[in-house]
Amino acid sequence: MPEEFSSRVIFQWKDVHKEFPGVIALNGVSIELNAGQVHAIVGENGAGKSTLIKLAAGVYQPDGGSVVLDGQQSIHNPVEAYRNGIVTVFQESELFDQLSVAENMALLKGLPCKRFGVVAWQQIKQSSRHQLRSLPEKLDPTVNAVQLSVAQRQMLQVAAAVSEKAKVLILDEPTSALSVKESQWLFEQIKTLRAQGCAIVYISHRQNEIFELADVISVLRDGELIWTKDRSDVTSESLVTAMVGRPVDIESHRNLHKPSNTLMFRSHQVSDGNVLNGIDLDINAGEIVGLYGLIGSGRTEFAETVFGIRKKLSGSIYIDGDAVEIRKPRDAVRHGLAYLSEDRLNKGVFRWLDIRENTVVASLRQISKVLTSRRDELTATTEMGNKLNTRYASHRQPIETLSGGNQQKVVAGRWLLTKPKVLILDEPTRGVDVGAKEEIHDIIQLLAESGCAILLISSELNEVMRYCHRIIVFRDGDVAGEVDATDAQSSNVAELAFPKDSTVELSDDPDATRPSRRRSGWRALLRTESALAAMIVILLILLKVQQPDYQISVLLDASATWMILGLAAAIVIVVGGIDISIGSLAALSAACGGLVLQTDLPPSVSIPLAMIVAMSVGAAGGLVNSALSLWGNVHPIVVTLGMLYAYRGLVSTIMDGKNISNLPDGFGNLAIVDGFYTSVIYGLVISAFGFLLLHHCRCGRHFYAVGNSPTAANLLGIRKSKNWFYAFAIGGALVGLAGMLQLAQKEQMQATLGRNWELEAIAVAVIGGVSINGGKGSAIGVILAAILVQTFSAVLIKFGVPGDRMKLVIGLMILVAVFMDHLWNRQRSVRSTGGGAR
Amino acid sequence: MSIKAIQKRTNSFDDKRIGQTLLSYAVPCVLLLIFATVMFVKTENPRGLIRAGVQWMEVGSVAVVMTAIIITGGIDLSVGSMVALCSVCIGVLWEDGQLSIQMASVCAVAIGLVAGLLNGLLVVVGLSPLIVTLATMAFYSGLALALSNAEPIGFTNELVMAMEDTNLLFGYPLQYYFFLIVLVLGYLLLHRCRIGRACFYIGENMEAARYSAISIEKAQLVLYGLSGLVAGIVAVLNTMYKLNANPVAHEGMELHVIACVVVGGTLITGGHGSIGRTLLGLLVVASLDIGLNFLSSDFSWLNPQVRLILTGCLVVAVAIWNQKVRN
Repeated sequence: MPEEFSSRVIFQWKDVHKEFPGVIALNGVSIELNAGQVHAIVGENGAGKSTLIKLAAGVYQPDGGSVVLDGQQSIHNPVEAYRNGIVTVFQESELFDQLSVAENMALLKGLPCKRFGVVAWQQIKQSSRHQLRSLPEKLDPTVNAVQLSVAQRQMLQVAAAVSEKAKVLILDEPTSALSVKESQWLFEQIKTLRAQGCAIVYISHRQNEIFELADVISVLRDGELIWTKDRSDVTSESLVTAMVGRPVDIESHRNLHKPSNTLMFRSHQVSDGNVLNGIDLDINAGEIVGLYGLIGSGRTEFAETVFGIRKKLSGSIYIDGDAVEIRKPRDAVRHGLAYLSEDRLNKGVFRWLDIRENTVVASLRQISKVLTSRRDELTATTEMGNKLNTRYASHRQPIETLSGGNQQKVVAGRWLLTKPKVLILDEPTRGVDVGAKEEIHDIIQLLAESGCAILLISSELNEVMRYCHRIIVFRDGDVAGEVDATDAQSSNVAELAFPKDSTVELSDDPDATRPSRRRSGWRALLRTESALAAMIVILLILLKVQQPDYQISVLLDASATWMILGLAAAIVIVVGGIDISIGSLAALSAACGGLVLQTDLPPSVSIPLAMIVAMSVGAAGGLVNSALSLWGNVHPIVVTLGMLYAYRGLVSTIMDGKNISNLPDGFGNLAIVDGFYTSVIYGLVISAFGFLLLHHCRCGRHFYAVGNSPTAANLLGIRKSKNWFYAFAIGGALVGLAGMLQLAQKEQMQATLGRNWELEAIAVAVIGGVSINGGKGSAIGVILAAILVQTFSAVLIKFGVPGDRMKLVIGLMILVAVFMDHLWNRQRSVRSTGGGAR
Repeated sequence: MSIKAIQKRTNSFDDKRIGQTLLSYAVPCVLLLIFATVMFVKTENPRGLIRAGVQWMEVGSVAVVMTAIIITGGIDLSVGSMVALCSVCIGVLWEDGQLSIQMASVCAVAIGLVAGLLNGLLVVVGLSPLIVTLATMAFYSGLALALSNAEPIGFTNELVMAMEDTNLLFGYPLQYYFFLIVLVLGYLLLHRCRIGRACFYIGENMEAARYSAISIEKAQLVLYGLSGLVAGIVAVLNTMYKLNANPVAHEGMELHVIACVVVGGTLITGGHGSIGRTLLGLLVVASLDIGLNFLSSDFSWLNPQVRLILTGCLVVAVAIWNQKVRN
């Protein structure tokens, strides 16, 4: 350890308290980080480690105490933390999936820009190359983040942190997804940083890593700091004892009944073609089998495969002696299998539904006959509530309002109501307070005594050792061993679960399961565009053959409006919104512009003024849409649906039943001058603007970031509201321009101008490869799509098909476009996970 | 924290929740009272009111299924196009296909069902419902235009004479009865059947629904199929009532339908809503439209344009109100 740093305190948690509804996560914890030291923080799940690092990263604010950097500053938000040199690599780091690796790395510290907010792509590319150079495996900075594995995501962030010259680097279980080679790379990076005087917080369950790396070790348990000691003063035993709270021994093992000898559940060579390599596991009736393993060892994957959520590739499952075929969870429940998921928030509770609805969801078939009955459901809910001693005031309460333990009881009750023969419990006591923990285990024991076979998955050693008959240990998708709980030693169970240091133990060549060569992001992007371009060329050839003197400028003239409208729709969709009032807004802008044109002003004044008015009206409309949606917290589709009516009504009011015509002389020049289609110029200029905005401006790139993940963007200080305002306003201004262009082309205007434009504008955007979920799409694709749609319609007209059939073609084109995109995504996700989760 | 404290907290929450529910119903109810009073006071003859309501009965029938779809977090924008397509199909089958009007109607309903199932299939595959039904909205409407050559198909005089009597039952057009049937069946399906109950779970948390052994695919297929089926029947009733099959008459119907559902208080993001709310929403939107229409003879500024603006503002305002009350 470099001595010159070790005395200087860089960062402190000073007596921090943090409480969440129902749980005290941290209770008066004080830890100091010294420069040039690796500080390991260990504790069981739920001990408060992640809360601690989220406080440091500025994600949470402490309820009491303070978080202090360099002796004075306190941290108020994630951006401030990052700018001040506190870099956190979370276990499940959120990246912007549809943005490239290079851009993701650049966004962490703010996109570098040349003048006028133009993004310096060259610089981004170079610095990312530089940052990625140290990685053990080559990573192409142009691929999109969605294609990265968990390990690559983590290494990417570490690489960015290293080049950042961080003052404090926080690593949350960094090696859980890494191979040995990658872990060794990580350790080297950590040692380099330590030598540079960086304070490193290292959180891990792996003891050997902790003893290899750490200078100081702190132990947390149930939100409290147990002790902080130098590594030299800590032994493996003392560490485990401190984590668990008491030495784990046979005395604490519960007096369990004796299970019967009939086999209730058997899995034979079950594998999912990805994580699991042929699992054999038997459970007798009335037996509680503990399944222990680290994250990523395949324990949850095994449960999900058995339950029919993951696709089973091979192997068979027997329940009560019969081979059963389980393709979906419904089959599993029918055969008497129940699975309590580990992820209660996302896969367990229906947050805003009440307790009754949450309890009966899986057993509606048993409770009700043809029609469901509220009274029967209530009886079942109350019965289960009493049996599990769930505390709630009214069954009409949304489950959200209950504490973690009571929520868990409701979800457990849901599965007990299905009267399962085999019950799989995945981390049933995670995030549950101590009292409820005991109660839940009492229930499990009662259930087993009544003959249910139970598989208890846990990453808490204490839990499986105390409450189970047998313990099965998973490691890297295999059964590593089996221990009888009565004579289990914590050390030998842990030894089975922890991968050894030797490479032979761990890796069956991890690179084989991971696609090493990935298609580059640019090529994937060009795929849509080249397909569109190819189709345009084919159709043009067809047109030219049919009519040799066909002028392409006519086609471009017709496309100009659609380029502009398509871009307007695309910008709004990219930022994560949608605007279906486009047509009405275009009519409104054109009507306002038309009013200005009809005044007595000389054309040289009125025409530019009209353009400005139209675009301002459009922008204002967009601003109203986004403001209402953001302020009212209402989905933009509802807001723009309402505004669609309102704007259309305004148009009719303004025009008062008359058409706008007899426009000033020069106005038609907007569209055509002496047979030359000036509209084409407008189309191209706006296309160039859209391209520059979306792909070369910081503003446009922030749209993508917000569209990809508003929460992740917020962590980087990119606010959703601001970007929504910009995007909707720019989109609205473009819509106004399109309305004026249409007015110039048609030389008059009726109140119906712009009907169904929203459909076609969104169609152009989607055909051009813009994802309706936001954050993905390119300006070039949209422009090509606009041309393609017009070419198609020209061809149809040439072949004598009436123009109104175009709708049919547009509908088909949208379907083909999204279907291709879907297939492409699925293929890619299958490749990057090697099958498995759906 | 003691049990008592928890109970106190949850009790107050329970009261708050009831208050919220009342508040969220209050605005549409008050609006309904106003508009309905206007409507009934200004009506000169009940026949006129009944005739004005026919369109809204059609919208309401479709809105019942739409409510269930929106509760799952989906949407069906293609309803108007499906009605147009089925309507045109009756005309074409009768005129060119030489089928009897009854056979043509049955075929049209079947076509509606198939169109809806196609939507459902595409959604089950994993595509976004918004985009799928946007595409099929264009597709079906294009198909309707193509089949009819963009011209309304009228029926011959004998048929018109024959149909005119059967269109009314006890003085009300059949649409009224159909709406009542759909309303009752819709209530039973959504609130009292497993598949309807599944809608709420799917809309609230699709992942959790999957982990709770709910057949998401089945529910989606059934709902979108039903949407097509109801659209087909509405098309038959409408064609028989108007005695012509118009490919463009139903454009924009989806917007009315969604407006009714949203004004009633069903959340567009899914997981929360009811058939009763949609009935309320329908009554508000319909009485607003009809009532103001009657008023416009007295106040010239209450022209259709202003009514359009008011409808639009109503949708946005009520949606924001409901969201604010909920949080």
